[in-house]
Amino acid sequence: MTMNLPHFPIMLTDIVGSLLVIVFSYLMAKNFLKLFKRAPQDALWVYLFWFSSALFIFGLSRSMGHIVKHILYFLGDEEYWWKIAPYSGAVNSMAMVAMAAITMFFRKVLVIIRELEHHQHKLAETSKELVRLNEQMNRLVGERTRSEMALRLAHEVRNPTTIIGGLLRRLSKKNNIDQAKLRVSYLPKMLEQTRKLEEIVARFEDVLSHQITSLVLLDLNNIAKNCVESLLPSARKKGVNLHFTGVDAPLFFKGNKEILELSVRHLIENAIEVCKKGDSVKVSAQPAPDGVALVVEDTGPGISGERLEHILDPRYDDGSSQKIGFGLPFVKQIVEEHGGTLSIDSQEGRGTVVKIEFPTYLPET
Amino acid sequence: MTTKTRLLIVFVCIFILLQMNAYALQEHGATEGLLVHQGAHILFFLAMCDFSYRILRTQLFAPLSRKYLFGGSVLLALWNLWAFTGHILASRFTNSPLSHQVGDIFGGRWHITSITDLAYYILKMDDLLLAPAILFFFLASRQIIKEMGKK
Repeated sequence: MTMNLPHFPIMLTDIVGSLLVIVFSYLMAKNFLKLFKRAPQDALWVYLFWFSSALFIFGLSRSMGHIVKHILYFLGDEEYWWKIAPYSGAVNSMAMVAMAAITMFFRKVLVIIRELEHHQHKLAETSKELVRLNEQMNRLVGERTRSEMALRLAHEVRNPTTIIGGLLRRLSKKNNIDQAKLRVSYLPKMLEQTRKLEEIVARFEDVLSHQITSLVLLDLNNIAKNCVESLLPSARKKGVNLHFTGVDAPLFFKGNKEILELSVRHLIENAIEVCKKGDSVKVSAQPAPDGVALVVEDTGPGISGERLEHILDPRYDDGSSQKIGFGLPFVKQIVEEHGGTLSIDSQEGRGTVVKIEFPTYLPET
Repeated sequence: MTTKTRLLIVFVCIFILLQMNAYALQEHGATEGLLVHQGAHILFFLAMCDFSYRILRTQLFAPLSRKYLFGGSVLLALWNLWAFTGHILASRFTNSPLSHQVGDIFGGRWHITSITDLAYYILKMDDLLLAPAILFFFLASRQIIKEMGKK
């Protein structure tokens, strides 16, 4: 077997191939770096970033060695290559070992991700259960309070109404009513029992008014401003621009300060969390037609139509790993307990607007 | 004074007081470099086999991204076998089948006289596997970014 084959195909594949390896491995590492920067706490992106970096170093060391070799041969400085070759080979071997070591770590990464998902799922389930229990407890407490109040009302009202009823029945049986006896005996007794009835009604009114006075007068400007100021460091750290716009006049409404600050903070935190570097979150407090309003507007990725429909339902699970907005059902419940409303408007790729409105005065019922 | 410190002092004294020829430095010949390189190829091959197997089983990526990652890792595993065999054949030659003039890198000729020569000639074109492998990984990275954008 004797053949004479050209060296040209080998050179061409080596030079073009080496250049392609450098270009593609660089672009791949750049893409994975982008993903890593977007979510540096995500185990999968951390792993892929390391994997792609090692692959890039391997590709670069191997291909640069080949290209340098051909250049030196072309220039007639072959002896230089023999000086560089051991170093180039050593770097290439080390890069391959590093690449292999990082690749083999994939098994462990899968275990970590699986465990994280499991814990996340359990956490989501627990939170859902908590919301459900909270709703159930609210219902039970409401029913119990109503029953207790009804029983107490029935008990306290029974005596006066029985006495008044008895007196009226006796009077109705008499053909001739003795006006003097009526004035001296019947009417004072009936008036006495009526007074007792009025006292009972007044006591119940007092109980109801106490429930309302646990809510204090608040300024929505201050609440929003405090929340924005406390979240500025975390927004800066993420590279998100967080702004607050208020109005000069106070935006008074009645509510529980601690719970409402917690809810507003949660809305702003959610917005910061979904945003990436360079995005902005605008928080504004403003008067509304029926009271006062707080608007949290972000330029984040937005929410898909199907997810948006169910985002306020604590039982909804879209199966995605994103748990952003998970506390929204809680916030909605708190806002509604204050007689307010919560609405969300979002467009995928353009951002989300969450608006909560409170009445200036709480309704009497 | 702890037992560890006492032992350390005893060893230091032995090394200082008892003079003898030092044979500790191990010499490394040129063959060792090739062995390390071949060992790295085996390790890299095994890692890529493991990676491709796990990529097939995991649901972490969308089907298209998974296909690209699987393709890239299988090609890279094959490339390791290809290069490993190439290095073995290269070490057997005392006279290279390639003859070319200095400075004329494209114009050389290969005098093929056996199947081994022909195999070596083909195995020299290992970029035919390596470049597509890296291309697959690049396509996977692009696809994953696209899918993330959709989410």
